[in-house]
Amino acid sequence: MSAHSQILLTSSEGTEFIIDRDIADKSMLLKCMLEDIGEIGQAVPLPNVSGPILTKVIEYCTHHRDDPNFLSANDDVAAEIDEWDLEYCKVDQGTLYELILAANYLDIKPLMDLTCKTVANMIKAKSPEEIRKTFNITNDFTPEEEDQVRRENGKGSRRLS
Amino acid sequence: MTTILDLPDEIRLLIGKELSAKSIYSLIRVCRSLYSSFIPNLWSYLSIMHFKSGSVPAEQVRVNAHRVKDLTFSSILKKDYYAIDYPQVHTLRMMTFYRDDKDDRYLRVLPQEKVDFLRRHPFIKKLIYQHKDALPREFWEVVGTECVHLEELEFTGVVGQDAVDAFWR
Repeated sequence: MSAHSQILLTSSEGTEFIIDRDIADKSMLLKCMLEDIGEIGQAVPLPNVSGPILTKVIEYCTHHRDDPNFLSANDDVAAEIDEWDLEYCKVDQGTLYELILAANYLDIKPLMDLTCKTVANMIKAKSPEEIRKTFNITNDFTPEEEDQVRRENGKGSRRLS
Repeated sequence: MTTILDLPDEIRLLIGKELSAKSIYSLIRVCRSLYSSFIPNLWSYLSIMHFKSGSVPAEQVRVNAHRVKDLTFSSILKKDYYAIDYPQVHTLRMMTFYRDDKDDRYLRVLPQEKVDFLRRHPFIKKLIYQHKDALPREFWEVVGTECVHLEELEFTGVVGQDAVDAFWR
């Protein structure tokens, strides 16, 4: 088999995508699947991933196709997200969560780390009310429950750094 | 549209890994769904030390004790913390930290109470003990005979021949 063989994927709506084998190999799911079944001309169906999201995932894998340390790229928690990745994550929240779900399903760890880190950065240093606003979440606690959560976990003198 | 609440727990926890305890404390107060996802995260690793500003209130520890998996006790804790049962704990550290001798608000825990504590938690897998005081022979007897799930033991301190015999017996 040649290094430049191509793979056919179908998104949830049935749209077909032709990608190079080395791009597909960024996904551990596809890599293992392709190693198992070998090269058959059939399309690999991805019923959990929509066309627009698959396009976005392929964009990420293509940009990072030659990264030598692709798998350990985002391991360093403190590391800054690089500029391209930062731009890449400037999408609406719905797209961001679907990207996370796709990265999880396709098992692409660096994309998973990047997108989770992006969500974490949206949470950091915010009060509960600010988090609700950011993510459009309704407070479903009763005032009594709110009190209880505070009482059972609140600062007291716990070192909440 | 997919929202943050559509993410399953396994993914929520990956996001939580990037956050400080302070942010997790904000998250659990947002709504019930985030509370259930992140509350284990807040308590699974608990270090109870004694600071000038006080330590985690024993009452809070009591209601969350079932969530604690990794527990660090400083040697100068109030007895209250030793009286609590931690049914999920697998790693226990008993450590000596800086102690202000003039500060008598905190009673030292008697060796016997440590023995009793260990006896109530025989399922621990890892025990790290660091202390200047010699422990009674009974402590090592319990470690040697009752803590049958113990996989790792780290000990720094004084140990008498008597205790060594009790442990190896």
